[in-house]
Amino acid sequence: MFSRKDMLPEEDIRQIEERLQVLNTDLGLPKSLSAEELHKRLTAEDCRNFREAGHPDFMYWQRYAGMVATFIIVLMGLVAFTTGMIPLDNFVASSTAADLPAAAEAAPRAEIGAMDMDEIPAPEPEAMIEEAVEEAMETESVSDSGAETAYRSRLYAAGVEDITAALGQMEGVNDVLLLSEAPAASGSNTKMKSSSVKAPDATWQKEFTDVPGESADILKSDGTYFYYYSAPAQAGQEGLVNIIEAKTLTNVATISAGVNDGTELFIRDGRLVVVSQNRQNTAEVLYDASVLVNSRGESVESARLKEAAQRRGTGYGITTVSVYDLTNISAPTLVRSFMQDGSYQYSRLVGGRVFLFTEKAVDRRLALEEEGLLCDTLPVVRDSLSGGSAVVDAQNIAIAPESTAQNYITVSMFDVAQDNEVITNSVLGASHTYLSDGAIYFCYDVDGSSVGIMRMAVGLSMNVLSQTVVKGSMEEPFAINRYEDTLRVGTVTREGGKTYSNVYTLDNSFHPVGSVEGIGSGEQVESIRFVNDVVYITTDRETRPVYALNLADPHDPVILGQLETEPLPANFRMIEGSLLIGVKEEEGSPLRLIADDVSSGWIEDKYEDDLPGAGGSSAAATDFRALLYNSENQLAGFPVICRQPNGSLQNWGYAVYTVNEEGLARKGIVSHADVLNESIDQQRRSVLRGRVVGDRLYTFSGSVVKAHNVETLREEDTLRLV
Amino acid sequence: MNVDVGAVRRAKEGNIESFEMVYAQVAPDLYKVALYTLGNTHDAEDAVSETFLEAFKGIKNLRDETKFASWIMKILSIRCKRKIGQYIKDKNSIDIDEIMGLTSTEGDPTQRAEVLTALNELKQEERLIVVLSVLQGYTIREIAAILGCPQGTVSSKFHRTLKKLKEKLS
Repeated sequence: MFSRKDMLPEEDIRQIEERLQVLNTDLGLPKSLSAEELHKRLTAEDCRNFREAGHPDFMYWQRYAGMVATFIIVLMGLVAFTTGMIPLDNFVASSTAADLPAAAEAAPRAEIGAMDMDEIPAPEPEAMIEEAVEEAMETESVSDSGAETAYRSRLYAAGVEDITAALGQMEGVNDVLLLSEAPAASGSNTKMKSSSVKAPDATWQKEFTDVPGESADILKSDGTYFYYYSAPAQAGQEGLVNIIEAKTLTNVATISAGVNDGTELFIRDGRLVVVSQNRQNTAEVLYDASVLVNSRGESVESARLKEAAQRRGTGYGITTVSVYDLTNISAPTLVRSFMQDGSYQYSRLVGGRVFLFTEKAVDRRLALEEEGLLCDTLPVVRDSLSGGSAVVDAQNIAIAPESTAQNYITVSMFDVAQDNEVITNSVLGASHTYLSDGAIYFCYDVDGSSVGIMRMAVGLSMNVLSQTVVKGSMEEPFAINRYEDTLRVGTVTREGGKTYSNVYTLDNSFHPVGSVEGIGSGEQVESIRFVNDVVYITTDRETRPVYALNLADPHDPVILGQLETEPLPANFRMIEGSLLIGVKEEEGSPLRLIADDVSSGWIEDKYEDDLPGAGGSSAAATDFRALLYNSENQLAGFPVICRQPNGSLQNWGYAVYTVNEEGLARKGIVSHADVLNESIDQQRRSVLRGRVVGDRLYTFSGSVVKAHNVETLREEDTLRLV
Repeated sequence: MNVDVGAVRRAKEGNIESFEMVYAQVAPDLYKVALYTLGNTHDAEDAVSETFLEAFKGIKNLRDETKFASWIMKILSIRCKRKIGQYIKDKNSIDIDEIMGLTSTEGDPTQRAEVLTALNELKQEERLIVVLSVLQGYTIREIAAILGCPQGTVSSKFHRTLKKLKEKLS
């Protein structure tokens, strides 16, 4: 990856910049963007607020008045204690829980500061969610200690006032708050360097390959039918979920997913779950009059309800979960619809229960102004089974201490097959999450030099019960991982212009038990990957070493050494025990399938195969769901686009391999394309997924499903999608 | 972008005409950045108009009038990112014909088409960094503040992007 030696010479930079100057011409400003035209979009209220807010003397007076009031209160308190008017003893017994954070804050930042208490024991890592539920039932009944309640009260908001107070203390790079990602830490704090927990973006793999349950995906199968979401040919059109009988390759039913920005599926217990990010025709449903109210309970005037709803739907994003009963497979019946605002992060099906994660950026200005609406301050949900829309109860919102990220991560869980209540919790200030057995970890940046982690126990309910801080920044979602009761966290520290990585291990009670710091000092960290009880850290030094640490004993992490080897691919699958397979894309090189043996703890490059062409790309390089492995047939498959040296297409289809301990063998590349060009029609024939059912391999593109003999890959049947 | 600091101050104090004046001073640059990042006039117009509205409502919170230009550019970059996030996956392309039509009377169209084609191969975030640096003259540090990213990240992305452009343009 990038290092100083990769920087272009100054002369090259100047030449490129000169060439780019051809774009620095006058484009003209469209009339629609003139101040005069845009002024027409302002409401009378906007203009009134603009004029009235511009009284700096008033704002300064407010600020100084607050400071003076605080000083007077503190002074009076000191006088009261010193004169004995209020006995100090009254406060000692009830401050036990409050002492914990104070003690932890006093701990030096260089060490792990666990701020927790005796925790509900987590379920065994291999336990199914049902076991975790049982254990949670047992422990919840005994967990009602005063300290735990006090600790929960410290992490959770008591009411909306706590939320607004927390938002009021958050400072971004500037105070203009938009419906945006979390801003970087303020540049005025000299302790903060450039590190922070990155908010997930479209280029990150949002999910892990070693977490319980399954991910939502565009293709699911129950062995008899396929459930496949095909995106529309053009933006603004409806997407369709196709229910296809595998044996006859016929379309038995179609469900409209509406106009949306992405749809994924689950199938479980005779029900189809459709998860869509879809903000256009759902905003007025979710943001109804019950949530478009201010703190005095006054609703937005009816003439403005629609505009207010649509603006928020577009800004915050809305995710909808629709559950269909498949008793009559040719006529699926919608039995439940659940909506949650925020942009869709990911969802997971664990033991029959769906977990839905969304991120809602808080427009702090809207949330804090006097006429601010509830839906601007709090996340909003709506369940068709329980009536209208509602804001998430503030008492179900935990606040990440010292976080400046002005957004909520909201998680909702419900059973697919049962019509029980949806349970929703949010964390204000979290940046990303990691779902493990019986727990969800919320991560966030602290001061730009540490990572805060909150642990939410998940059973019949959800409770954030513990929180800790580790040094460094978490730069990718794979850098946190739980394995056999140990939480492992890999972070990156930047100090004095140098970079190094750290690995920390924490036990079930969130106590730090082991650490290694200063790995790869001076080298830019490329990736951190946990595989069973080994962690691999790749840096950008010229030979691209991979540092391997054995974490089998979390109390005593052992550095195995440096491996002069290719790092693990970004997304891989574990097959055949200790063989990892993954697809690698590298500019200027052919696409490559690799299989690494990690049984010894070292990465032993076992097998690899270059696909045709001089270069190429594959969705499987960035999305593990696109990488198929069928253990029965020892078959791997993934989408490929292979290009010739001049950039033109060489192959466009789905590569199929047999993969086992004895090697890789390419069986062929099947394609849906009629001709080899990149027209819109052919792009619709780009194979996205493959699945093996019986003795056939089925491949799915935007417009076609094909069935191939799994041994010979001979095409046996075709279905053209609507 | 050259901005009248006095007008910014008056805008903060509630003078709508002053706000519209400073907006007019920065609007062409905002439009240019949005257009090359998002690749089409429709989305670029959306992003700039939303920026106007948000800036109008938030200018009273601007602490330093001399930072107005980078402040409003940050608003725009966030709007562009949200637009990108709304796209169906893989919608990444620049409408080259449309943009060529906007500048048909200036410069060498062949050169411009070549550069646009090369720009089209980049991801939107890469385009944004290059446009902010090369066309708008922001430093890496300023771009990091605008995008809310670590400076090292911006620097490495910038240099990687230039390398890509060098290969495409050579």
